[in-house]
Amino acid sequence: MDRFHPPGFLEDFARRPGSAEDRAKGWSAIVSSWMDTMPPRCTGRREVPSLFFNPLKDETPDESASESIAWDAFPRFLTRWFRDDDEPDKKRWLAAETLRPLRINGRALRRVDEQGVLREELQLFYRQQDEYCEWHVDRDRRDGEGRITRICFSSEAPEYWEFLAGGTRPFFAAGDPRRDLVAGDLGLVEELYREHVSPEVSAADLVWPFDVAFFDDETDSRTGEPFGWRFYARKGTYNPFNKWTTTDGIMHLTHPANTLRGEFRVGGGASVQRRDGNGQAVVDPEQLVCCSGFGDPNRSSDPIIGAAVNGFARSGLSVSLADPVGLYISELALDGFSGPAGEETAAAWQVDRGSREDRRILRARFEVPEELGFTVDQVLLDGDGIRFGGQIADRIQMVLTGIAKQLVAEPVALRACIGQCCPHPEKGEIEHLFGRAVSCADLPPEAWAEVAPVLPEAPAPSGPGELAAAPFVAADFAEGAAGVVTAEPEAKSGLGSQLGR
Amino acid sequence: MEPPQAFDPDSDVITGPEIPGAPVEPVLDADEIQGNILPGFGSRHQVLLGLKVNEGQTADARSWLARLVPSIASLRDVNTLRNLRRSLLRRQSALPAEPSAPWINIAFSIGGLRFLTSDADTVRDPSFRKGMALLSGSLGDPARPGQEGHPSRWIVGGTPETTPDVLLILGAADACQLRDLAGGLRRSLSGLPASGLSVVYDQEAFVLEGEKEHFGFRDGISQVGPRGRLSDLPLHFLTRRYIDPADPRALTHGKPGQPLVWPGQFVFGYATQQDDEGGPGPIADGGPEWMRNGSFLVFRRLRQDVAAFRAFLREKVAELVRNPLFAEMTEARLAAQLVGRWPSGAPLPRSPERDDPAMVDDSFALNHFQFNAPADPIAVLTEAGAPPRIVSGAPADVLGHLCPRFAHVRKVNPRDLPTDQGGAFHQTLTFQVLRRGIPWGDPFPQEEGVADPADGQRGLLFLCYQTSIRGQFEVLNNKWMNRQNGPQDGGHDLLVGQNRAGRECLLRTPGGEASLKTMADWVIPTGGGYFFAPSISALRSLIGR
Repeated sequence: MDRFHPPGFLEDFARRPGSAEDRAKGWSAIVSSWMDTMPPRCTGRREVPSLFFNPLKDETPDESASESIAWDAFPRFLTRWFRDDDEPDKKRWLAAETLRPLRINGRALRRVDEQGVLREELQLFYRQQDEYCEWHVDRDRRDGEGRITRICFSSEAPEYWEFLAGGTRPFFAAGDPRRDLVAGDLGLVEELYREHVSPEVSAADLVWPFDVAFFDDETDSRTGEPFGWRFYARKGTYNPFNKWTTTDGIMHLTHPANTLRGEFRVGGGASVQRRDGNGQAVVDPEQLVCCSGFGDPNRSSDPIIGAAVNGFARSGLSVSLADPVGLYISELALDGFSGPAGEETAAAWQVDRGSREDRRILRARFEVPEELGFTVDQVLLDGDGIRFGGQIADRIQMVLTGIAKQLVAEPVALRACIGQCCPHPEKGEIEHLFGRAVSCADLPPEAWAEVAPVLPEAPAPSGPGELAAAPFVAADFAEGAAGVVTAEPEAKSGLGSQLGR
Repeated sequence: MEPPQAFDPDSDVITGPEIPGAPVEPVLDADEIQGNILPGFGSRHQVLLGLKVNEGQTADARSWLARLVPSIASLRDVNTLRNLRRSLLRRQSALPAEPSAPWINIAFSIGGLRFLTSDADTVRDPSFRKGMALLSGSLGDPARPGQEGHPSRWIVGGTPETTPDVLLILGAADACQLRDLAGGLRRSLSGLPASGLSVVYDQEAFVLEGEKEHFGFRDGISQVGPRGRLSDLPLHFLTRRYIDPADPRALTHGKPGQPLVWPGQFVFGYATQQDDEGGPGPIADGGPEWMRNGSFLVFRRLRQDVAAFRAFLREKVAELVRNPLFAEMTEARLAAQLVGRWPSGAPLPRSPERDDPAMVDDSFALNHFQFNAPADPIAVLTEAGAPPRIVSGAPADVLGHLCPRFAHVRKVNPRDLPTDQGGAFHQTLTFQVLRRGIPWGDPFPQEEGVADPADGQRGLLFLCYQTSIRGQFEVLNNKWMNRQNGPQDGGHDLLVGQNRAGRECLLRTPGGEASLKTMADWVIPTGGGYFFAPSISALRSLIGR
């Protein structure tokens, strides 16, 4: 292998033949750099052989074994949260489609004016869908019904779009020669958005119209105080929370946990063998997430990916991610779907980016072709009409392909846990990751404030067993609905223009 | 302080050793829980009768059902006979005659419950309320009306007219006793006073020789062990415990390969299984109060196309032997790969090269293996006062070189493997069901070239109990059996899975891989339904309303 390819072998670069080769090299350099920083090493300690390897730099002869790691696309956290509710399905589907205000370290991003003064809070949103599959529902509101016309699913990483728009610059520190491998092309991004989201997209919509700041609550060891407000993004750079991929559509993932960078962190963290208080190897997927302090134990994806990586590592194999690196929609199980009169509905699942045959789908739509004569809301799934995108997401499976190889001969030592999970005081199934020093019993209620999912302000219509059209709309939130629970996506930004966990 | 109670395999009230730190298990209501749920009839001969309430004759039907109630077998009834049989077997290694009693159990579809009570629709399980026919597509059944396997072709449960309101399960060890029982009921249903019920389904079934199912494989080897006691006595467990208390696995297993599961997974009103630590979770609550001590019954009448299965084996072996990696492949070996066990029941991880029929006599070894980590040797107690016997261990098999990842037993019971549902051992236990199935139809002719007198009519009456159809049966069926990537990457369940787009799996060896594909299904659904089996007093009170 001579380079890392773009997710799903996408051919966007070919639209600009002059810079296509540089762009390909640039993306490969970025992915390679992520591979090289795994797992994070403590300074001053003896070099422990890393069990996460970079296939681009591996010169050993044998082939790696590969393994498809799969999980369900519907956010498990929401399923668990509403499990004991009177209407568990309707609530979780509704919550999944409710946009959540963006908070970093508990605070909204703020505009910074030309003089460098902090100004108003910004109303930005992301989707409460954290299994690397997000969806946007288009509804026809003309007759007040809000009938679904199409549902778009995406598993595209925001980093890829930041790369298309900004080139390699946002990904490397000042002074790193890779920073100048290729420039961004906002026009290319605008072209793709117009093609897939809406013809009304304009480049100006896709960038920050001003400088933006976030609150960094990490402690500056020199002063003992938090770093405080720092630049998050500069005017004119790509805005991954632009309206065309949040409130008004979807082009890529928006949940702060849904990043490729985050995935590397899970993979790297999981390649470390851990031991519990009794000296036994930790192998349970959720316990591993908690003990290793990576990811979120409530998701499906992190525990599953972590357990698979950990399993390889436990056999002494070094692990990595297969090329093209990405997390993909593997398939939609069409069992149980039918048209209103029993018609076949397979044609409604249309893959727009990526490959259906290879199970590397990056973007797909559920939209009934006109010639079939019925609409999405008339499609029956187990006898129920389609009222929420979540009904379809329930049947989608996601996939990531890992690779493993024998590279290290030393036996693997078990290391102590560096994190722990505390159960939610009321919903025991829900857990949250905390540091080892925390005492679960002494946690104040505020520690859980950001965990609860957000539901729309308007009460959902109810009717036993019957699903009515959801009345809310993402646009209701765009006006800055008051009283919403603040979200804390644990995002910390390193280089100022990236998001990640 | 008294010494811990000694292991006594001849006692019916001390059914396990005392283990320090063991959780206190709930006392099961043995007179309320129907006996096919726990411990299960296990009868060699069974009859299923599906009944519909006649239009306008609800009162007659209630009367007929009320007269049946005293005959409904409880947990206590079935367990007493089971204990008797066991104690006879411990004294004589073979029984001249099977102790037998005629058992009847009863269950209702959502339609049947609606006749009996106005709050039937407050049952929480959405799959039960919808019924199996509506969910047939999601179960992976053929989607085109008229195709065999589609509900329109089912002989029971596929249409409103053929969906029973009541399902009776009759069982007896003695065939004549069962015949008398079934005959009596049939006569009573069509006699006077009018029963108010019509028979829409009448099926005889019997266990094949060697406890095998129709593809030739020993069935029913692996079942989880429900926790729970039958009285206040501290060691009066329903599921006997054999593991040496010195081994930590004694806390989680009854026998090697038999994990203990909190009874709320199978019976409402008891603690469920936590999915991350295996402790007791919330009490299983199905909705209305009358669901307590009851359970959901999933029934699938499966036809097994033995000829097609054999043809697949022949064809694939012919293909595979041309590949030097698989030059030694035979039909018997390939079939064992699809199942995960040899026909005698010997599991591949313990006996990868060939069948080991002697292992069938050692029920402990037969099931002592796992996949993610090696199964360490385990000490079991078998005789009072005797030292424990050591059951040898078995190697791990993460990559599926010993037992393929697509093997049926591995797909539906991944044991200690992490799965695509986010958990591992403890979570997997929350998907498990209690299987009470039994084959139907005459065996396929063993000799080559002999015409099949049953013309393909044979198969399995798949029956299982659980407290969540969506969270248990449908997970095993929809997410694991019928998916290529569930519980792990490796392929579809080629033995019993269904998939309209065809099924495939990957045979892996350390030296290389080969792919097996097929468009045919040889397990075809021909009937079924979702039912609820109430407790005996709930039955009385529902009928009496």
